[in-house]
Amino acid sequence: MVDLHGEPPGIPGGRGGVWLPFHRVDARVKLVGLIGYIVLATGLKAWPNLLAGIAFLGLLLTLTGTGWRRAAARLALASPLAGAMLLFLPLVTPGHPWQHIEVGPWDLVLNREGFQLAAVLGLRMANALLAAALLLDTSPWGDLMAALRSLGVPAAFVQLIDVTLRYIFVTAGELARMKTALKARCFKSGRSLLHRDTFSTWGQVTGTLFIRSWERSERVYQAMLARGMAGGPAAYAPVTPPRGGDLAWGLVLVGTGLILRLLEPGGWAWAILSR
Amino acid sequence: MHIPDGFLDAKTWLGAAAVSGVAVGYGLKKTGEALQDRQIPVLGVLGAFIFAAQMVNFPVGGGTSGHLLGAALATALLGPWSATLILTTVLIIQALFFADGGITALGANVLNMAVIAPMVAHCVYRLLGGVRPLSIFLGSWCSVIAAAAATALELALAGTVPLSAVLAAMVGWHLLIGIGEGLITCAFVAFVRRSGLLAATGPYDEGEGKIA
Repeated sequence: MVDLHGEPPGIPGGRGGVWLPFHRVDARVKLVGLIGYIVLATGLKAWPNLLAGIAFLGLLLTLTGTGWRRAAARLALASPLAGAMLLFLPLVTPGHPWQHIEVGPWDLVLNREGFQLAAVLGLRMANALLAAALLLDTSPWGDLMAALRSLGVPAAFVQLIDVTLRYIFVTAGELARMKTALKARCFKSGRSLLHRDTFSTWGQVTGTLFIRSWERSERVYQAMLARGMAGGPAAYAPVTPPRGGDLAWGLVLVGTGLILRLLEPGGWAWAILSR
Repeated sequence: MHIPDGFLDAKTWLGAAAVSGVAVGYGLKKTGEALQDRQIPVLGVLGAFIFAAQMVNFPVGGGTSGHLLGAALATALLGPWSATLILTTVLIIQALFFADGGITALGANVLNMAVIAPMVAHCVYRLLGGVRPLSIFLGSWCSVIAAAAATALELALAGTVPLSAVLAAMVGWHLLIGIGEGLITCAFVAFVRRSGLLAATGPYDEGEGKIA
């Protein structure tokens, strides 16, 4: 989650101490380092290595004082999908039958390989989610936008992400108030696709939301003009080269991902060592 | 429909990211030409609108529910390239802040939901003569099915799930979700048309390409 109006991320006010000044690392290095880590870690196949990756990120989350609260919230957001996978993959992955479940007239066969695949995919997701949590919780939003810009992402696109994120909370709040108003008028959603009134109502709600958003976009445009926008992209932080310490952090992040890949059973390191 | 990290192999996510990157780059150019200095406020605020619209859940049946994808809706309002940019922005924010879709899988998610879905809706609108109730319903329905089929193909191409199983599951379920999407989008467009705003924004009512 992002809190644009809260205290700057990475300067935690939680219980844990700040043992590593990760929040001071250049946002570009963190962005590239953690995405590099995600790329490497999500290609891992061995669960011990995946667990080692989670332990590494957990250690960083703890030592940087970021804490587990937000990281746990991100994991919780992804848990329905993980649960669905644990149900679906054992049914469809070819392999050795492990369990039989009778559901009415059907005899469902759950395969061992499906469970193993679901576990590996779940651990990969956990690695990626924790790495993203570490990035977001230690980098102010403006720094991340500036990092994207200085890494070559088109200015218009960066600004578009920036503006969208700012108005998401406004628009979602508006929708929440409209839902409350619907409830106050005793609206109850139907139970199937055949309930015409439900779809008509939601069409009108989204229509109203669109009209308000369209009008808001015009006001935003006028406000941008009033503040001197000359049609060009907004300026982000000036570009300064990352320091040596920052680059070392980048090496630690990507290096850990690389070591986990190299040490996978059957991986490159084992092939070299076994010669 | 959002593919998380770890579900796709490198060849699949890199290939999808390359195609999506080209499409988004072209979309930036087209919308920049059409909207000029309104590009950022209009697409940014409407991106927030699509994000919120995706939070609208509708009943499917048997106690289950679905939510809007919004690709056909955004295409009907602003055209396919604006829809591509808006949905790409939404997908990036969802992946980064809401753990909905992966960072390595972002290219694939953009390809499915922000490129294929709006383009399919656009083709249906063009084939059926603009934004009318039947074309909106079919455009919405087809866009959801196409995005679901593309997701299934990518997961199968990566070797994560057998094609027959994932295609049947994804397309089968989204056949129903697509109906809900179509019904809400029809009601939405009818409502917005009554306000007179669609004539001002719609790319299909008064000639193609008013807004990219």
